[in-house]
Amino acid sequence: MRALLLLVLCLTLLWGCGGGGGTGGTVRADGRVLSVSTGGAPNPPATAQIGSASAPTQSDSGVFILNVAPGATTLVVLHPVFPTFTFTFPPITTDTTLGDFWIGPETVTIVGTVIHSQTSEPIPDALVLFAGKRATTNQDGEFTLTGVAYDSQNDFVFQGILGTVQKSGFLTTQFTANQNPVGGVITLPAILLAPVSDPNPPGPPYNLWGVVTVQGEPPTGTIVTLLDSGTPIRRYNVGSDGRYFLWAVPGAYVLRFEKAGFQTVDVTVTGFDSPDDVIRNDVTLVPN
Amino acid sequence: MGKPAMSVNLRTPLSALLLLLSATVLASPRSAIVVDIGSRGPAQAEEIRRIVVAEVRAETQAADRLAAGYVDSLREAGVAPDGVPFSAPRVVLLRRNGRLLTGSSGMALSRGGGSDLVLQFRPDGHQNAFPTSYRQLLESVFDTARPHMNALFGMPFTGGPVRVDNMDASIGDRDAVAGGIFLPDDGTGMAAIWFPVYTAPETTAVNFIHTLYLAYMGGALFQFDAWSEGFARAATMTTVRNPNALPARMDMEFIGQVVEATYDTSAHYDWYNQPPLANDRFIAPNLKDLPLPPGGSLGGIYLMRYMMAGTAWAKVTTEWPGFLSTFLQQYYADPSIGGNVPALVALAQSTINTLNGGPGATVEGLPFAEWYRRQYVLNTTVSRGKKVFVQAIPITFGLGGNDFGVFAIWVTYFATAAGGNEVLLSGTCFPIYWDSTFARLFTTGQDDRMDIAAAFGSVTPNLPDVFNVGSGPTQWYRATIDLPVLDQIARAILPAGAIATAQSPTPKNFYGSVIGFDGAKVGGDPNVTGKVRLTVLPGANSVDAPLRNGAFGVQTNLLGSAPVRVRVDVIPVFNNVEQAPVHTEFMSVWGDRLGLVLHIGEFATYSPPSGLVAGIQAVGFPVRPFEMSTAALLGLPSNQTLVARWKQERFDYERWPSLEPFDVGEGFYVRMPSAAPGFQVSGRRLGKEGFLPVTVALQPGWNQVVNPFPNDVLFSDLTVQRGADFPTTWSAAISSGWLGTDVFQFTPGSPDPHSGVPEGGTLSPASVFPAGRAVFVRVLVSEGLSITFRPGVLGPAQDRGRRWRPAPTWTGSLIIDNYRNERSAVEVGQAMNHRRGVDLGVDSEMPPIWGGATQAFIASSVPLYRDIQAPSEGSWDILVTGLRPGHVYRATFRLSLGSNRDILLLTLDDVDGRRSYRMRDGWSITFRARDVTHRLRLRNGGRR
Repeated sequence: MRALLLLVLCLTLLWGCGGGGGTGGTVRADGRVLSVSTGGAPNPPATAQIGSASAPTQSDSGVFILNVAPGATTLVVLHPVFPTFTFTFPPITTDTTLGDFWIGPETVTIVGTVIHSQTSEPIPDALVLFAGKRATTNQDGEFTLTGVAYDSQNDFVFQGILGTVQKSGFLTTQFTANQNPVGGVITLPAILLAPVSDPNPPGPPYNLWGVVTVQGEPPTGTIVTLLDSGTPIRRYNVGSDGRYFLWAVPGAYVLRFEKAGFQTVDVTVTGFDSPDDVIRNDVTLVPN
Repeated sequence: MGKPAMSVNLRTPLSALLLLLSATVLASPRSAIVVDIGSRGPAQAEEIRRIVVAEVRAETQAADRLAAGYVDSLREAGVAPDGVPFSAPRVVLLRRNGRLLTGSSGMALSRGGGSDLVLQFRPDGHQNAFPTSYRQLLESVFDTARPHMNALFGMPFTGGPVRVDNMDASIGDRDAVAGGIFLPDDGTGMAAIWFPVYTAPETTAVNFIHTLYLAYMGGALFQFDAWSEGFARAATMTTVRNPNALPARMDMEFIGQVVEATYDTSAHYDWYNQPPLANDRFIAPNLKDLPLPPGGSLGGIYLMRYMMAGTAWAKVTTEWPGFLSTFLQQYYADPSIGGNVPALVALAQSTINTLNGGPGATVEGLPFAEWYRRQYVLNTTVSRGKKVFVQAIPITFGLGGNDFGVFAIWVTYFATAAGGNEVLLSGTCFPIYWDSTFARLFTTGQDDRMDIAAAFGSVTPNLPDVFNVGSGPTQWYRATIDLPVLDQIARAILPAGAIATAQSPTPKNFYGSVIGFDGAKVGGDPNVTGKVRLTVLPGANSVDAPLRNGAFGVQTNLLGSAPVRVRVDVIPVFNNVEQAPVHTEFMSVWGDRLGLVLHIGEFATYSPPSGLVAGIQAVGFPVRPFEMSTAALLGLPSNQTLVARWKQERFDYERWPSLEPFDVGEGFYVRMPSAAPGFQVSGRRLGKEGFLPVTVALQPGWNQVVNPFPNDVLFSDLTVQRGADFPTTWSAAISSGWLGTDVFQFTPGSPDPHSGVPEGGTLSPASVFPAGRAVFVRVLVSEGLSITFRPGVLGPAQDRGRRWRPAPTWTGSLIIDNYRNERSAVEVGQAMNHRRGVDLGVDSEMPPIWGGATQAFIASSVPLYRDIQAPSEGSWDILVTGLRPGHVYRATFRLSLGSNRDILLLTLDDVDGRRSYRMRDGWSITFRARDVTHRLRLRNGGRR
């Protein structure tokens, strides 16, 4: 029993070591291959291959350790049951721990958009990492991760995988892919990146919100009133950004938008059944 | 056989009996597998069987595979012997025409009525017949155990025949999970047990008895696994540990190992009693529904839930041996309370009072309801959100070299989603190891990082021998391991060196940690020592464990194979004279080991100074509430509860009911419809001033945090940890760009004209971490940080006395208010070595603009709350927003550092009002808002 534990410790030790030089003109690359079906090491083991170097993954941990030629950028994972998976990474120049690489019986494509948290403008050149796959956003902030391991029979492991988005000058953010694939494609909601220089703490919580547009004028000074059976229960004074935010218990409400010189607009709030529902209603006010 | 028993509990009132007779079905227990058989009747028994088998196999496969990983890990850690499967018999309910089949006709008349179960086996040659010898073994097991079972559990809810079928070909992987299946009605109107053929008679006995206990409860199974599974497991471990309750020639040592590995967690119950155990069911719906291929993770914590529940109820039966039978007989009179926890708890108190012969009976020294709410595994609240559970297993075999405090540390990281589903999360944890003085320990590199995949991660650190110098007693110590994962954290408090070391390899079996009194301390007063005394009740046999550096350990034969009630006292010793105990706990334990965490003053009630005010507020509590339902905690209907917490990874708030429960260190926004001035929270304190700091995990970006102590904590009483770096001071973390400059606290604004309560407010920098008030902290490093609140515990020496930001020459605030409760402020100043624009080390973020609230900010390249400039500069454009046009506002300048002599000629220009004023400390001007915004400019130029 102890021997087993020591074996695990030794493997973990090897896994944890970094730095230093390679052996005979090679550098060490290690990582871990995991099955998206189980969350554990693939069973039977997979074969990790970088260039001409290859090794089976450890049956208990999924760890692989390879001595590879400097400059390698591609890992191929072969498995007797799963399809072959190919992962890319920046050129390896020194001993490197590459991280976790997920394989599985199926693959999906993940698409999404990375936008600026303040301006909602797309963010190009952001690095998106998920399940060992990587992509860079284009000029429209869009990214596509192809060949991502998936198991439609056991998606609760997949749903727990944490992806990251990195971009210099922005806080790294995480995301999960909890959406169901449609035609083999998972479309993520927009991922917001907050700039390091963004000074704003979050605004207040809300569950009713929207944007007010006033024809020919700034929206500043528009009054939003929340009515419950005709009785006003909240008031919001809209600022220059045109947004309003209200935090209310669920109910059948009417939102009233008023500004001097413009027609009053009433909007019935629908689908507000639980305090964690977030309802958006945008309106445009036109002159009287 | 088959004839309904006619005995009726005479205490059952007629009305209740009529209710029982008229009741159609009971609600099903949460983990029962419900199989829809359409309209198929008894004549289609074989078809029904095929449907059930297919469904059961599908539903149990995932859980079985997940269990396999867990059992393998137990074996690897030396806790479970080879060949021990996890016992998890299951209940299957059939649904015909939309109606659950819960038992045979006439069952109402036999409820708790004194009729035995009568096992019926198939005749030889039948496809579901057992081999003769195996059938005889099963019969022998029940015949031998039955008197004991009847005495322990009372008579079955439904007596009479139970068909026992050989389903060896159909029941899943017995290497992983053992157990039979109980069907209150197998579709033919008859109760049935489906059972496989095990090689080992001991495995057969344990699992058959466990399945029989489920059959005893029959159609009266509780709706919550904590009760039905907990009762069955407590009874099973009691029965199978009694050699007189089993056929002869059973290997009792093997059975003992089975029970210790997969049933009884009493040795470390105290360590594992953690909030993630709470749930109304033990296996999440999504985890039992999905088939899994071989291999896999530990599958969440459902196996730990099973074991902890059985152990919890075994504690009760240890103290009140007649509890289960007495309780169940009363419960059978009205099983409609099977889903009503308050009613069940009241019945439990009534039961122990009956057994006591009078009121005031307790469990482990507490009234039943108080005891019950301290057991997380018995909490049936389904709380959403991410959770971290930590399991620590002392490694006591194969020690060598410098092994001092070796523990296997397993982390389970999961999220409870809608419908009670559990998502097995992946992530990275950076464990932090602390000694008893809360100096950070570094073990070996592989222990600094824990990669978590599909909910499971582990490290096996050797907590080093840091206090021993030369000869003398082993200086074991209280070690604390913080396990942060993003914004969640778990903690293990362990006695390093007090169980087994390479130098002293014989394991001690009574060990643990004390919080609040360290006993003998290295470097402490030599006249102060301490001990932890274990006394077996009701006698006076006791043993003392030396208390050193907050940890204790001793080898004793007072703990053994029989269940015992014990009293544990923490006793200070001054100048070799024993003092009165400073802490006493009562507990029931079974087995030859007992590991504890004794926290002096752990349970507390916190009352916010002003209660909860009406309207929006940002709060948090320094206790972990017993009440895990946020709505119930606040006394609000679920659909009227407005609570939210910022989640940076979503860039949005998480809102009740999708939100995790309140916990120490976590801040929340709450909107109360009316004031609750007497509001208070009862629960556990996680830290103790002067002894046990509290660490809070922070993710990149904004975090809503609350001080984990009931009094304000200074910034100088915090340390910040990043990955495997040494802890650093708050100020150094800011200077290093790890943290944002300011911590923002919320002040509610003026009442909304319609709701009459504040719906908005302002955020302004806090000068301390205030007690009970949630604040925003901003983390700027991608992997996140943890901060440790350590009031009264000395941090790194260099921390003390250092200012937390460079000292400006002067600073002052321009405060805007409406003479009432609308207020906002900005801070300006001048100091050497600062620059125009955003100087991250000094300048500060702008509080957000709130609906209906007055807000001021300094217009710069980015909006700022604070702008400290070089002395050669000195002009700040200030924009005030959220004003009520036509109303009069006041702008007041107040110096917070320096004096009037330090500032130059300070002028306030009312840009929109086209006036200028000279300003000094405390001087004010007024202006009338013409719009919702107003522009001001503060200038400092030219000497006086």
